[in-house]
Amino acid sequence: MNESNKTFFHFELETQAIAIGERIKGGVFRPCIETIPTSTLKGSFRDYFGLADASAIGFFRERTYEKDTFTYAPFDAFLGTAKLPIFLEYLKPTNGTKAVIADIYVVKNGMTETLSKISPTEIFLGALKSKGFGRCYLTYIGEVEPNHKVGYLKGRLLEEECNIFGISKVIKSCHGYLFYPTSEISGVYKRALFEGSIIEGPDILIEEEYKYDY
Amino acid sequence: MDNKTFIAELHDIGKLVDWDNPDLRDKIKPCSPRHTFNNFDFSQLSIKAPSSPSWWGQFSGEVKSLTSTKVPKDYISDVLLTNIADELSASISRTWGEKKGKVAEGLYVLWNPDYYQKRVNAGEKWAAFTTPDGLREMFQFIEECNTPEDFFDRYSENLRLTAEDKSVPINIVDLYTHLELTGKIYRVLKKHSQTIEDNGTLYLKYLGDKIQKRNDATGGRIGEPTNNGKWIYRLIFCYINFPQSFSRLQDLNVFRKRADLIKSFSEDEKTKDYVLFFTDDFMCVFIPREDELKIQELLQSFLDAGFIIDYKEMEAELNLLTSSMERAYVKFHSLASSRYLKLYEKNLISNFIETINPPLCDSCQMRHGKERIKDQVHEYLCDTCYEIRQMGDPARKYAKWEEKGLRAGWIKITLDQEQLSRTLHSLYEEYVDTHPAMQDVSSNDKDELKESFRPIAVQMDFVKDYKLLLNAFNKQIYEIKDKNGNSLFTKENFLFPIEVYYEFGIFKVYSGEEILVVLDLFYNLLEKYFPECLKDSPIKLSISLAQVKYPHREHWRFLSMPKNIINIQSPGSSKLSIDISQYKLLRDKIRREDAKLSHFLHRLADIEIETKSNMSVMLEIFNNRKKFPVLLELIQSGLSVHQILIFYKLTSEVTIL
Repeated sequence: MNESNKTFFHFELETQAIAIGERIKGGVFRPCIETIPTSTLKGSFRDYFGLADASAIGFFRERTYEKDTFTYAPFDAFLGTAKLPIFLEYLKPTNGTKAVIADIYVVKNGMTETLSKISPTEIFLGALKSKGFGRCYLTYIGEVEPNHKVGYLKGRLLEEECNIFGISKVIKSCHGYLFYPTSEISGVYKRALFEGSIIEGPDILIEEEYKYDY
Repeated sequence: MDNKTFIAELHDIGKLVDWDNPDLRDKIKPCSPRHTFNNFDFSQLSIKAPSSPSWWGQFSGEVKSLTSTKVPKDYISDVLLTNIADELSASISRTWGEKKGKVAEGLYVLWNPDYYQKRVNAGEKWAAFTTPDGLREMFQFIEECNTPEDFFDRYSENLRLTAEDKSVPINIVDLYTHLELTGKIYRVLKKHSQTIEDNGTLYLKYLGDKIQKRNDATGGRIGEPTNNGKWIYRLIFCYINFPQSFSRLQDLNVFRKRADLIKSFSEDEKTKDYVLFFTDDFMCVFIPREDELKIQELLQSFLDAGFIIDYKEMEAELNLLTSSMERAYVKFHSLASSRYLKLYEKNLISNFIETINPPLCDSCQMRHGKERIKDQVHEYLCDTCYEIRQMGDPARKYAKWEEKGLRAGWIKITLDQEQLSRTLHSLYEEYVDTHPAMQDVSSNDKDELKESFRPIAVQMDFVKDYKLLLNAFNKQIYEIKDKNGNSLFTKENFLFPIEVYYEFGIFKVYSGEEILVVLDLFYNLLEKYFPECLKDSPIKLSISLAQVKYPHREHWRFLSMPKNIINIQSPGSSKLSIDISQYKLLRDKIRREDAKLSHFLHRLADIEIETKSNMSVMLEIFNNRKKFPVLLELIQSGLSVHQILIFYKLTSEVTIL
């Protein structure tokens, strides 16, 4: 893997309610994760900024959010009836905070250069946008050149994106799968690194340092 | 050469002889040290020395090299390997000398110091051999014993009450566990080494390294620079996890599958000696280096069944191996030693493919899902998860709990292995520092004793007691009576959905009373089996309360991550994590108050939210101290108003959540 240091554009994202779901695992409960995977941001940056292939990852800031559930009954247009109610888990501001805040890091390259010039912008992320979820304000903070560190990954990214994000070594893989669109109506699931994986890479991706051998 | 098996465990059978018993002391002259018989004068008993292979185990204390002429060539390797295994199994490294306290009677259980006296009061005894006839019986047993199991079965009671070393503070491991561990390590070392003869000289060879002396294999103490320690082995803590989420009750079968696999792995003749101890989700294994034994191949059956094994691996010279891995690693690196000690965090997973075409398996989300239709419900499941679904219907009765408004309590008892290691260290250090028999030991020697502590055998003992606690919980839960003298819980309203898996249960909750009795039973059992762990218990209890239809996976998410010793949640309304002393205080104080306390607690909670000021809350409590005197006491013990209110709500007579 390429060990070159990467530069990132740092954005702050604010929202009042957001549900970035894990896939529906059967049943009627839709849990929400506490990071923003690269796959979610890739789609959003394509839709709002016309960037076909921007690489970005996000992490919700601790103590700015708590979980709650929202119950709704999807409508079955074919039968004209309501389906079983679904419990959607989402993040909302915790007591004493104005908004849920996340840090978004976009890999700097020729294509994403224009992002550093954007004014605070409204974008939508996650599930149930029609019910008011996922309305976010994205504000550019600045450029960061993180140090390299060995530690536990705190987000989710495709394994094939390791190079792009400057991850020079994967020491322990905690695998999962992220959806990757291959056209407007279809896609595949690609193998990804999830939280808890041990990597050598930019410290912005790392939750806690790993202190042992590898 | 005798064809009988060499039983390493028998080398310490002499520790069951009570030489202080007048029936023996005045008639027979012992060897030195008294628990060995290699130089024993058998004419005193008018018998011959045994001739079985196991007899030569008596020489293990003095045979430190294959050049020894005291043991026949056919058995010298077994005796030397027993010596090495015995050293590794000891709770204190024996290589640093004899700095210890006075000899004390009986075993000292770190988490339950009164254990020995209680067993003695119940009529049990440590000594198995107290007369000349008893000694004759012992020698006959050494001659005739065929398996380690025969030995453990016959002398179980005595072995469990005898300390491996009777001096304080090393009298913390019972002989049963010490010999269990010694036997396993001996057999693993034997399996992976070969006795070879080169120009008339005997060697033991492991992975290309030939040794003759014990220290060549094991190396010395951690701080000693040495070129010895040629034999490198691995001690591994395996956490056996699964990716499945619980959307159907049949998904709970994954617990049975895991338990079955662990059981068969730890009972299989080919693998059982690698497993030093295990629980329902954890195994501690002792294995050679990867070049000799591939861990993936060893644990393939778990991977084939879809489990993920997260593991911590210490790979080190034999004498540096210890189960207190992080602590040893830090110490090792503080010495800038050239010795070999590595610590890794790794995992083992099935070969997950790079790209999966939709749909993904609904349950594990790690494989392609095939459409499965049951009762007109379409689901997408991979073969592994489908097989788990097909294993049967656990908690069938739970599926039929349909009483209106009924809540279910999902309960999980957890043993935190990482914390266990820390707890054992702190209990041991306290024992070294405070026991009267240690008064004459210098503080430097005390420090050395603490530094040389090897918790593995103590951990094994702890896990055995943990299993006793779980069994007692399963039994006693059905013995609890209600106000009318009837059983509060029956097999209908308190379920252990997976047979013989007593860490996990589900029960009906009509009021706080059911919750309180479950908490009380847990507290009482903790106090009975682990009285010294009440402050810092590695055993934790979690209860998640919700309507019967509440998503199973959400119950499990809470149950699998206990934050404190007692954890309760009622999703959407309250979450409480407290330690044992806080529970005791709340239990003693809160229930005695009348319903007015509820209103007052609600008022305090409102004040806290509105003012965000702890001072305002304290002022209100202080102003009402005459009406509610216990509140001030509870707050001063570190509890918040919210915690008190939540406990009140969760355990009140009527459902108010």
